[in-house]
Amino acid sequence: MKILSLDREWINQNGKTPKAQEIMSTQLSSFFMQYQGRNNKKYGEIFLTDVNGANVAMTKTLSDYYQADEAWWKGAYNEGKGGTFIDDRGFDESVGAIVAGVVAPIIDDGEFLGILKINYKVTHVFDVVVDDHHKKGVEVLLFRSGGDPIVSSKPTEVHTVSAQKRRDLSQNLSGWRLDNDQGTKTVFGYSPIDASIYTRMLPAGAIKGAIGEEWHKATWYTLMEVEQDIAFSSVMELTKFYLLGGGLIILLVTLATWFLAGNISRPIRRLQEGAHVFASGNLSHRLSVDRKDELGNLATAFNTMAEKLHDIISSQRNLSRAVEQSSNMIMITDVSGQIEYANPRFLDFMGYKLEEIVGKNPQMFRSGETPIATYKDIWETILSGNDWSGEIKNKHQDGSTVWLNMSISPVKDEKGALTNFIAIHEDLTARKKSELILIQTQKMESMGSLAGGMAHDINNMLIPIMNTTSLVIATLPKERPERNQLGLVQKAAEQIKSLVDKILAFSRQEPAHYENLDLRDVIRESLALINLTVSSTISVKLELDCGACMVNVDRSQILSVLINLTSNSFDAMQGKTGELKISLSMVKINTEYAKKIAFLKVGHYARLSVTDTGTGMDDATLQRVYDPFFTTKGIGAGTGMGAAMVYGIVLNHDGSVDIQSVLGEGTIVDVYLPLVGEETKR
Amino acid sequence: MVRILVIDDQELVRASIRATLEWKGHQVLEAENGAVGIDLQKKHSFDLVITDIFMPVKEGIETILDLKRDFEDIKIVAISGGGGQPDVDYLEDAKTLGADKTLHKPFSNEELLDCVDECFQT
Repeated sequence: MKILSLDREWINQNGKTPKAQEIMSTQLSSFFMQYQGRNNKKYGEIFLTDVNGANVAMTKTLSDYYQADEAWWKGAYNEGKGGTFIDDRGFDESVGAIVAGVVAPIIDDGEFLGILKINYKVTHVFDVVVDDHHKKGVEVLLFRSGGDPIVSSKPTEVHTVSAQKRRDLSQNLSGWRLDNDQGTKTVFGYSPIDASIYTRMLPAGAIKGAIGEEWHKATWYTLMEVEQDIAFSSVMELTKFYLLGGGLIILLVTLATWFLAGNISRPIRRLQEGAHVFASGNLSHRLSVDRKDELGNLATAFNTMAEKLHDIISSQRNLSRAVEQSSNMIMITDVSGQIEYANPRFLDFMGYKLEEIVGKNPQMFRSGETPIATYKDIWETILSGNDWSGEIKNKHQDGSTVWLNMSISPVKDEKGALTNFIAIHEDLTARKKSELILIQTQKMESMGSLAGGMAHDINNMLIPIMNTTSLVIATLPKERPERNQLGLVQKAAEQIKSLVDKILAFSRQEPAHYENLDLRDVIRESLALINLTVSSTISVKLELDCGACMVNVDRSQILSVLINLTSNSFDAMQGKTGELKISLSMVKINTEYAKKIAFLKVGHYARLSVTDTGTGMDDATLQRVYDPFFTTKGIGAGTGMGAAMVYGIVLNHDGSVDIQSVLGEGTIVDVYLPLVGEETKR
Repeated sequence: MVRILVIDDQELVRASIRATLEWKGHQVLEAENGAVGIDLQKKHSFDLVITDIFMPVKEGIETILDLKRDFEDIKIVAISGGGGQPDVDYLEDAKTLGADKTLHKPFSNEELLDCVDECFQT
């Protein structure tokens, strides 16, 4: 898309576009110019396209930018397989010579790098050949099969080719004939050149070098014409000595022409052979250039240029590989913000394919959770040519959100004009998670010390309530009804006392008494208590087939954990039939696993899972589940300390708790406790 | 009958403990912190001091150390409802530093009275 619009602009402005200027100023273009300058007898224009047909280097501004629609380009590209093409361009005004374009692909290690075209001055070949034959009365010409001359040894003379000659030439054979050329009797010989050459046709409306050209396979012929007088005079002399007949003279002329045709066709054929060798060549295995003929010259030219090209392409390729394989997430847009490229790491992370985002605006990643002012700031900063970096929340392809640190830098051309923006992203999800853990930890700690302080005060105030009540009861006669009423006060105070115990457990204010225990025994012990409270509609399943699971724990605290978790599960399944499963397994926590669950470290853990088929929780509830005094139960039904206490106790045991819940399906609570072993001793 | 000093910054706690102890026939005086308590001890030479740990002006541990240093025969019961540094058992520390008995708040009247008796059994 972009190539074609640049091409249109190029054609409309006769190559006076910024892109053309950019190409002309490249290192490779100046190398081409130097090379052509040093060998200007042999070479006309030299230029190179990339694998898409766009110009990348040239000695002179071409008439268009996009070459992949040209016959010579297609011939050399040969659907990615690589081929050769020699085009007969005729007279090239830019170099003032008749040229043939030799086109070859540049392929390295099976990778198509581009297509190189060298316009070769045919006159050069011809000069070499005709020098010795350019005598009065002998004329050497190069013709196309259509009959029009390409080169003549007498460039000042106008040549016409008679209908008979044309017919002869179209036979595509070697031959001879006596002729009458404008009153002069001549004998001429002709021979086709054995090489694949394409001739340009310009149908109506076609623009030379740009649009609508047609290329047809053509044959070149050499033709040598000798005035009969001269031919025969020398032959007459010969016959005097050797008694040769007239037929032999003609045979000699024919042989001479045939030989001459060979002389001309050989270098041209070699050009083609050279291009062919080059096309199949591997740049790291250069073709031999020890010969001093045209093939050698051309091979040297190709080799030198290809080497240069290879250097440039490999440095570009290294750069693009670096971008491609970078562990950073990279995205490139144009100045309007349209995405031009994103590397695999970025695509992977965001869940997209390249074709799904190219040409689109990065707005597609907006999560709606980054303030609009941030985007405004980004655009103002980068459009003024400065770097922007900051944190944004993007939307993943699956709809979830991801935290990224994004750095955007403007890319400028040599004149300082903005051409692109490059955005490098860093995944902040893990960091944000640790921040959340930190916040949670701090919250727990401050809640803990608050709860601890409250517990202390409540414990103090329970003394006057409990003790005065029981003192009054003790002094009252047994038949007094006030004893029962005061009993209610005592019961209420007992409940407060048990709540305070939970608060203290959560805030880690109760000293624990650790011992090495088999977690299976603690679970079995808790089952007796659990069965007391479970409703008959719920089945309790125990899965303890993991072998002895030794942990260093406070037995009563772990019992509290189990009773709290199961009681929450029962509440979540209230009024329904359901299943509660307590299972135990031993897990090895690796680095990846440890990253996912807060406070877990690499090592061996016992994983105690309590699974229910209850109501489950939504995300908002899950996020607050460990907060002290947070409860979803009705007023008076729960203290909001259960999960907080579980969390406090487990963290105090160097373990962690992970809750997964699906609303309407149930909840799994995994309690991780470090196993006692050589490497896990407390 | 035992002559007892109750040191606690909470008036209601002191009054409640005092009521229980007096109901059992003991003689009780109160102090709202360690400093006041030590002054009273110097004047009255109590048989037993029941002291809280966290108090303003002079806290319990310091009070226990001073009492044990100056009054050799005195019996001490340390009481506490928690607080302060997590995972530190202040009552354990009080016992190490000279308290004869300790009680976690809240405690029942029976626990309190048993504790007083136990102090004088040996």
